[in-house]
Amino acid sequence: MIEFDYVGEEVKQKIVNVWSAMSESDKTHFINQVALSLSVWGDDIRGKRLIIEVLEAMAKNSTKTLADFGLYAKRVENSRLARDRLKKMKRAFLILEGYRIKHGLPSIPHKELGV
Amino acid sequence: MNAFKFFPQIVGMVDGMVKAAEPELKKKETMLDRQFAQIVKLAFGAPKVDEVSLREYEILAKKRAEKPFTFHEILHKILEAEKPKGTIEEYLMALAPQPQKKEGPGPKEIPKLVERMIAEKVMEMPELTKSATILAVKLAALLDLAVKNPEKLNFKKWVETEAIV
Repeated sequence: MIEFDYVGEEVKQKIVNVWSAMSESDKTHFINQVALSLSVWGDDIRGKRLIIEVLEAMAKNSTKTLADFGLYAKRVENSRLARDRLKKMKRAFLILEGYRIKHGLPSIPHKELGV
Repeated sequence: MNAFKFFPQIVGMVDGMVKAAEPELKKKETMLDRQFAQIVKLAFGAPKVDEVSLREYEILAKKRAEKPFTFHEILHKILEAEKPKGTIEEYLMALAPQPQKKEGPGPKEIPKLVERMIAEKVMEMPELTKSATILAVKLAALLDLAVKNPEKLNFKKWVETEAIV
């Protein structure tokens, strides 16, 4: 029996494919950015759902690395899940931006080129 | 003759000797602390070593290693290495025993790895909360497991139950 999940199988497969091709340092940057986001905007159920929404946005945009997490985080600003924590969200975006600058991460997402 | 009859006296004598030697031991320990600071300074050329308490290094080393190191043990390790490379933190990381390499961590090994990663990350970034870091590492573990078992990937479980498999 397939258990219900928030995201579809196709999106999940994309996320796993991207993850499996990522370098260890990219994986670390992903973990750090997720940890920073949850620390600032909250790690309750809504906070965690927001992380999944960011992942979904990344998969749909054909990202090449989940280390771009910080670049996509802003996309969930208007999510209904973020309504009760807009200030915290804004602070999280600033911290993520600072993290990316500090670690010399690019400001443009890595994307698969469409044919 | 029953030797046990004299046991309390012997214990008392030894205790007295230890007490008498305590100030001397303390002096030696302080000297070792200073030597340690100097060696760390020389070995790594770290000008900041004075600003950080040596005990912090000990705590750091303990947090990063499954087997805790005292700073005296670290001192010996530094003395053993001719020219330590990198920063003090990198060196301490290298001293920590590494988990045995298998085909990726099994579910039982994940908690240990998680604990270690959390300690490192919380020290690196002050904004981080422990619970958020645990969740982020668990999400990564979930993705790692999904590479081999895609059918086990369920984000809902991570969100609602924090289970990773």
